Amino acid sequence: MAETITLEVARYSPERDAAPTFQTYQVPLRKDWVVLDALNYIKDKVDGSLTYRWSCRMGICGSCGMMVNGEPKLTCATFLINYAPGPVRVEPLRYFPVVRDLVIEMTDFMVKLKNVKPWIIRREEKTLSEGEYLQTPQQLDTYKQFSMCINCMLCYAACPVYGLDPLFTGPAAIALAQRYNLDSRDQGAKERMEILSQHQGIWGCTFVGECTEVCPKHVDPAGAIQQYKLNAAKEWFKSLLMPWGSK
Amino acid sequence: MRPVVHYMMGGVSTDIHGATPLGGLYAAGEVACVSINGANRLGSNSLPELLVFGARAGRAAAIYASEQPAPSSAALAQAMDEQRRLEEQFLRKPGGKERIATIREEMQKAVEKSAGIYRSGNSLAEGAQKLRELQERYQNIALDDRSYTFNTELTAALELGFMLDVAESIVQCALHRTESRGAHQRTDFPKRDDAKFLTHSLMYRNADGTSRVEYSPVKITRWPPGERVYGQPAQAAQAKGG
Repeated sequence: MAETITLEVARYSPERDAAPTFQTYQVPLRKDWVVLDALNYIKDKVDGSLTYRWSCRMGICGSCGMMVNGEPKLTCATFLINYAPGPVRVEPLRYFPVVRDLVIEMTDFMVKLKNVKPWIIRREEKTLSEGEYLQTPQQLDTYKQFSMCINCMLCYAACPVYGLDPLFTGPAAIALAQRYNLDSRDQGAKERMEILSQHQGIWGCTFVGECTEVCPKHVDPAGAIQQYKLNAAKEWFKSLLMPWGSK
Repeated sequence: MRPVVHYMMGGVSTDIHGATPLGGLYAAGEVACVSINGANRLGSNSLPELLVFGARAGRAAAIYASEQPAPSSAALAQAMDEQRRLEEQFLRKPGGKERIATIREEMQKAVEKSAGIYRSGNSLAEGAQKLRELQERYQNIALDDRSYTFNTELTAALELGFMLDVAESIVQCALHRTESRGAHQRTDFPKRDDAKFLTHSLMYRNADGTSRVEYSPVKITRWPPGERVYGQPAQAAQAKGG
């Protein structure tokens, strides 16, 4: 095994640069090191100005997503050794504006996420004395997969439709809408449908399926979008056939 | 395999609304110390703690903020001074040769060695000495990053300063607490000493830069402190009806 590997890291500072450039670093190649370890090595020992987001180092916080050799990856879960002999090219997540180096501007995603109301909506809350909202294991299973989303945005960087149409609601937000729609305690599906059945909501998706491929938590956003399209179409036919129906 | 620090029982002292003694500063979760955990938190108690006291602190902070007048010009001038100090001490500071990561790593090793699972007067005194050295060297750090855009090296430098303060608090409180209780285990003082130490340790910074530990009594409501025993001693205690 070679002792080092070369990292080509995208650098960009709005105060200094007109466009991003690549900077090359040599880092130790250890078989237990992930790409994030290499970036931390650079920041700690070589160049403290290298800028990137990270927090938990264990695939839970969702903040260390970057492009590694052109693919969206959680850098805390992507081993360097898989790219030997290198070089390994590290860039900010695709389709997002870059703030600096590997840090992207995520406001667009945060707004879209909030728009789909990813929380439990009740027409009326139970009082404390009425007790908990109980759920069977089967009811949990219907949405559990979608609840694994960690908002890492890899699916946006993988989605060519989002790349072409920035207004598209996008995979994670739709999957999270579905996570609450399928929750037996939730009563907000209709509100969410009104938001999502607009053109850029779900219909933009051409079922490329890359979102599901890159998801580090094995959520299936592509599946969620298809389910949603089906429901939206059913609702549309219903409204056509029974315009007097309230639901 | 090696042990790691999983939780801190201590933290920023708050009341049950998340309010600290400093007006307008609220804390909740693991950074805070509402003092509901005693000397050893039971498993699973930290998540409910942050749900309950996070909601309470958020509400109390919102009420406090909505009742405050606009900041005075004196307060705004103070904020400007602080910003200038940070720029001078970090972003525009000439010279300096210590790396943040080096001091941080030496601090981690020193605290683990001196105040890890088992502590003693000797290990803690050594740790205190090392931390004084690191505090001094921290004044001599150099930043590679002088940018005003998303400067993560500046936040790392500020965090390191705070961590050195916290490390000093941990080591000094453990040094002064000559007993063993909960997660604080002194090999040179293995017994609990309620007469002297049924207290909270409170850490203060003196005007001259040194620190001091003060104590406030623990208010016992339902559960008096007791020994946690396992195996034969536990059976014996049960037989006695304890």
